[in-house]
Amino acid sequence: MSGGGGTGADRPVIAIGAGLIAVAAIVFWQSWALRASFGSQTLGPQMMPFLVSLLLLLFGSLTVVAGWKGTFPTREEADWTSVAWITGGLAVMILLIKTAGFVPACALLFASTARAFGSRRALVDVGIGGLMAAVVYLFFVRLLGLSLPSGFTESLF
Amino acid sequence: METLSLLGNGLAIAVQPMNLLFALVGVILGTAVGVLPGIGPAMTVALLLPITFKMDPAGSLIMFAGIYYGGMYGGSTTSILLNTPGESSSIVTALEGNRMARAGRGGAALATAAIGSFVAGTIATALLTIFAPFLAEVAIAFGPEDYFALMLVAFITVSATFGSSRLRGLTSLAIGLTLGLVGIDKLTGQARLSFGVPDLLDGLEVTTVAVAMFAVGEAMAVASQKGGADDGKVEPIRGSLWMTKEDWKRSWLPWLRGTAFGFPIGALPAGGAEVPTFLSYATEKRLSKHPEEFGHGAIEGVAGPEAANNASAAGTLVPLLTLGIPTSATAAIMLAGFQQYNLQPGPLLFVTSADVVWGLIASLFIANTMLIVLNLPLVGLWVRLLSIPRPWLYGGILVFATVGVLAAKGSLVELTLVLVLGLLAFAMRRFDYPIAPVVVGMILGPMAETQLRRALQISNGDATVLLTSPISATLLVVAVVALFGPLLWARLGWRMKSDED
Repeated sequence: MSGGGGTGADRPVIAIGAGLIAVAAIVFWQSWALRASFGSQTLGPQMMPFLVSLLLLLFGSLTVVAGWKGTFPTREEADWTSVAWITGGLAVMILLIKTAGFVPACALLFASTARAFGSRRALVDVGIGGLMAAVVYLFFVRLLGLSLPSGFTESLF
Repeated sequence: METLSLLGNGLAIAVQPMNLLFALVGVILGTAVGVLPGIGPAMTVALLLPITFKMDPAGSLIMFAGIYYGGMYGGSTTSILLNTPGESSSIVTALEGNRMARAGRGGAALATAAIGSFVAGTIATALLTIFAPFLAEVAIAFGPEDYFALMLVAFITVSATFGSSRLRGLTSLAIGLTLGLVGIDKLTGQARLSFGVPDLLDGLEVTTVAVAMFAVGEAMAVASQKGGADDGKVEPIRGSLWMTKEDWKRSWLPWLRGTAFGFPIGALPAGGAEVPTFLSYATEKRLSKHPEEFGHGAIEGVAGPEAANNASAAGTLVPLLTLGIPTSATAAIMLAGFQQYNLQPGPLLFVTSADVVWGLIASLFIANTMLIVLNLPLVGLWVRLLSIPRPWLYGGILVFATVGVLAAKGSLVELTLVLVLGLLAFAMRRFDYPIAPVVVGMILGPMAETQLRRALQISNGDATVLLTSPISATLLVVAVVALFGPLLWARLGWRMKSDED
């Protein structure tokens, strides 16, 4: 997984460059329609997207070259399980927040992040996260008068 | 004289009880996020944007500035006692500061950092008071083409001049510019890069992007380090917080030199607080009468960089207030803070909202005084924050961060964006891409576009207007030098070295 350092092709970096070129293409394609409605006018809303997509294309190509030559700094081995725990925590929160509710969604985000940082006491973490979320919810909604998304749990408050 | 009376008016606004309270809340929050690793002033201000939306502009901006200054103070405590910088601007402080703490001189290190921050912050704020009105007067003559050229300079210096790689810095900037394109075009009402999603028509929320880039990306990056997360050992504060006569003698010149690096580098669009701290450290090492102590806890190596990072925070406010140009991530988010009150920083701000500007500047002096009290006698309280277990600290940061996002816009689209952009930020950190250019590009990009289109509209589409205006032409030359200068210097340096061989 550790690449670069001037020793042959660095595939992940080539992939980043390809990704940038793909984004450049999307920006260009999405802005083409704007050009149609504003003709050849240079001042139109399409000018900046075209410029930006040109930049992305240039830097993407240079990144592909850098990846080919392997000139990016070397990377340490990553603990992918931890990254997956945080990603999963956020994904579960998105799924739960409007059904089970804000408090359980935040409690699970708290616990899964704690797990990513090496905590092994899941029940304690869920409890702390839930308490924190309940306090934050009441403070925001009752005291500051801001609206937060709510689900089943908040209907009990 | 006129400046003094304006500052006097500002002081009268700053000492109103509500504004004093805002300043106090700001410096306390700022110190806390400065002490805590994983959360910084940029994200804190971004999280407060939705909460302060309905509050008084002067009070909120005073609080934001207090957070900015406080973050610079708090970062040093973590660097000295934990050897893990709380902020990127305190990386250098850890070099000597932590050695001092291990050698039983932690008290003196904390004292020289706090007093140096106070001295530098006060001098730099005084310089801000003197230079800002002057610069605002000059900037009134700027046309849209000049502003565009100035923003170009800011883009290049923030992303390319001082980073570890020009290609990665500029790529980060391009990503930021792309994010800034999303939403309805202000001049024609056309939707851009919205992919038919109604939530995207208003553009991306600053809070959402900041949370994804800083909180989520950082948490993932730290969690992914194998075994590296649990090596932090907090040194107890040993040694008196009173500096000895020798300490004072060795500290005062580095404080002044640090200020001399920090203020101008912060004020010129030159990429934030890290650069002057590195320059200050190198200078002190060269000038010190005790070079053998460097690496083993030299007090100059703490005094200089800590003064430099505080002075740079004040310096950053000069272009922000007088030109509307942010030169760091925190300044960019503060700019968004001004805009949420329909205040446009720039020369006219000193005319149309003199009360807000001068109240803000005067409050900086007060904030600095509050900060030295908070950070020196009360340092023991802040150290306790460092004993929060890492899993709960980051869990709490993510919960608060997502709550801030939901308070700005309570839709699942925002949360999905946090996840997607958070993974992007993690990948960027992993491959050593800088984050600040993303934030600056996203916030400043649409403004640069407006200025460019306005300039071209006035000139009937003639792009040479950028070269015929003397101010714009000069700035474009500066931009080119900033882009290719480092390459040239590196080549010259390489040649000089090979001559010696």
